[in-house]
Amino acid sequence: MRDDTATGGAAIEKEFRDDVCVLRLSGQMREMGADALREELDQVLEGGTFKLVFDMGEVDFISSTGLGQMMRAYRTATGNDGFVRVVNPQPLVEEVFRFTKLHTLIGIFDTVEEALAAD
Amino acid sequence: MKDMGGAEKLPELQDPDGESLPSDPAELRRRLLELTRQLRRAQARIQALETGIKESPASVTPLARGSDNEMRLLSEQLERQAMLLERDEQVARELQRSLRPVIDEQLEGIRFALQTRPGTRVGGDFYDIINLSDNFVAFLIADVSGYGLPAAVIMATGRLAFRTYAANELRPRTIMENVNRAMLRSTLAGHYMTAFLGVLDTELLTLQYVNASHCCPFVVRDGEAVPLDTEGLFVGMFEDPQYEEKGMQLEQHDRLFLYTDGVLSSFSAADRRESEKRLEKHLMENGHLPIESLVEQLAGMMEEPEDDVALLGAEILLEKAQRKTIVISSLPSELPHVESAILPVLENKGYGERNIFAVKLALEEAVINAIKHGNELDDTKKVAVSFFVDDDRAMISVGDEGEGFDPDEVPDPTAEENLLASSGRGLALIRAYMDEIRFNEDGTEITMIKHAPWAAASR
Repeated sequence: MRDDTATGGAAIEKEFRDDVCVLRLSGQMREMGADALREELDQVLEGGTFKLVFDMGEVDFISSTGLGQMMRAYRTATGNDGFVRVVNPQPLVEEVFRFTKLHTLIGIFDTVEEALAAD
Repeated sequence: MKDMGGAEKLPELQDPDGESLPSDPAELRRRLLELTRQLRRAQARIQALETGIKESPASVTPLARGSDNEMRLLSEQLERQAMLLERDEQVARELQRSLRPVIDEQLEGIRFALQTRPGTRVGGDFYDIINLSDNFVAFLIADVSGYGLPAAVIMATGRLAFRTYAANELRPRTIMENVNRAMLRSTLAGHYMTAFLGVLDTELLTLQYVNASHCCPFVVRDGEAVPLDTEGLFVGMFEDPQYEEKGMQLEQHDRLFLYTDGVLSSFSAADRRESEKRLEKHLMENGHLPIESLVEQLAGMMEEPEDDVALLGAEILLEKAQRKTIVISSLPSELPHVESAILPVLENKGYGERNIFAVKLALEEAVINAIKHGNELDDTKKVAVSFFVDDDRAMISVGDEGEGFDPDEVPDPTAEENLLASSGRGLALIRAYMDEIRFNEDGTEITMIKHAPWAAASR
């Protein structure tokens, strides 16, 4: 578990289920803490896991920097037959995905189970 | 001691000999560590003395049958211990005196009235007034548990901790959380303090505050007294004290009234809440008095207090401004500072979660664009953020020292072929989340407007 909430970033908890990594995030996905998030994602991808589920129920803010980190992971993941999926975003955060149309690339699901079952 | 009797007036706060604290955070931290070491030593001494005193009666029994000589030795020993305690008391008094704040001359727009009354024993009451960057000022009042040298040393540690953490931070909640963490690590089990910390923007007159179980300060305005209370446990005891931050828009001539619990002894009631109610009533009825008289009157009402008492009154003489400018270096880590100066003002105005989210997002995008693309992370270049707010709207301008850019040339990031590229997403979010945006001619400054929710509704 990595916790950058004190400096305005996110706390990140990873759980591996077979070939999927479920990332439980809380706090804010933005400029502050962006390096930590990038490192965590790189670690997962370099470890050969390309199916990522972001459980975002506890994330209350996202900016273009946070979106950029996810899209970076998305490019690598989809280039390796993987995916990036988002679960349970708070309404204001979901709006940011919808406005930027990134929800068309990254599926948004209600639960981790639904995200895992989708294909 | 000669200063024991009667109310002690505090113009000697400006005493040039009074020790002022270093402004360099590294130096502050060094002194914090040194004080922590002193605290540990002092506490060990006190504990040894207490153990000595407790154990003495046991050795009295055999002595009572023994020689006068042994009796004399024991009484000498006790006398020495008493002298040591007395000396500790003097050291504590001196420490407390040396740490009284020197009121900064730059605070001419606020009239202060300060009173302390020493109690029959040295307590750990303290207050501080700290000048922060960008015309913010912090008011602090706190009361350390216990008394004597340990309380005085914890007081010193606490005051340094507040000074250290206030150096780079404007949000009282963050400062209080940091101080809590520092005190948890540095003080011995069982010691804690109650504290109230308010941060005032001396331009827009916005007051943000956190009350960590301290007795309620009041803002007195037009015969009304508003208590400043929030959720949150005392400082130095809990990992997660759950501090809540609240805010309030102050006006010219508002009076801020901070005190430690000895003041409530003049309004004694069944419990602290009831005493605070009585004090509130007193402030409402006497709110018309000049701030100095009000504070003097309250200090005079107390009987000889057991613990020290501190009273701090502050009258705002400043006129409320509508505009504020903050200049930062081109470092992404400066973003929270800008945010702390702007978002609380909108929170206090009632912009609501949705609009605050929008402004927070647009502000981050604009400031980070200016730092990364405008100034290209050159930290010798500055970013200027100016903020204007009235009853209808908030207007934020962000300017950099870069080459400027043509907003029409930024590709639409929501076009299907651009979705994977990240450029332009920030600007698109600003357009989407703010009501109006415009650029200066050379493309080095963006101005963004958000209508107040009530003004937007009537459009």
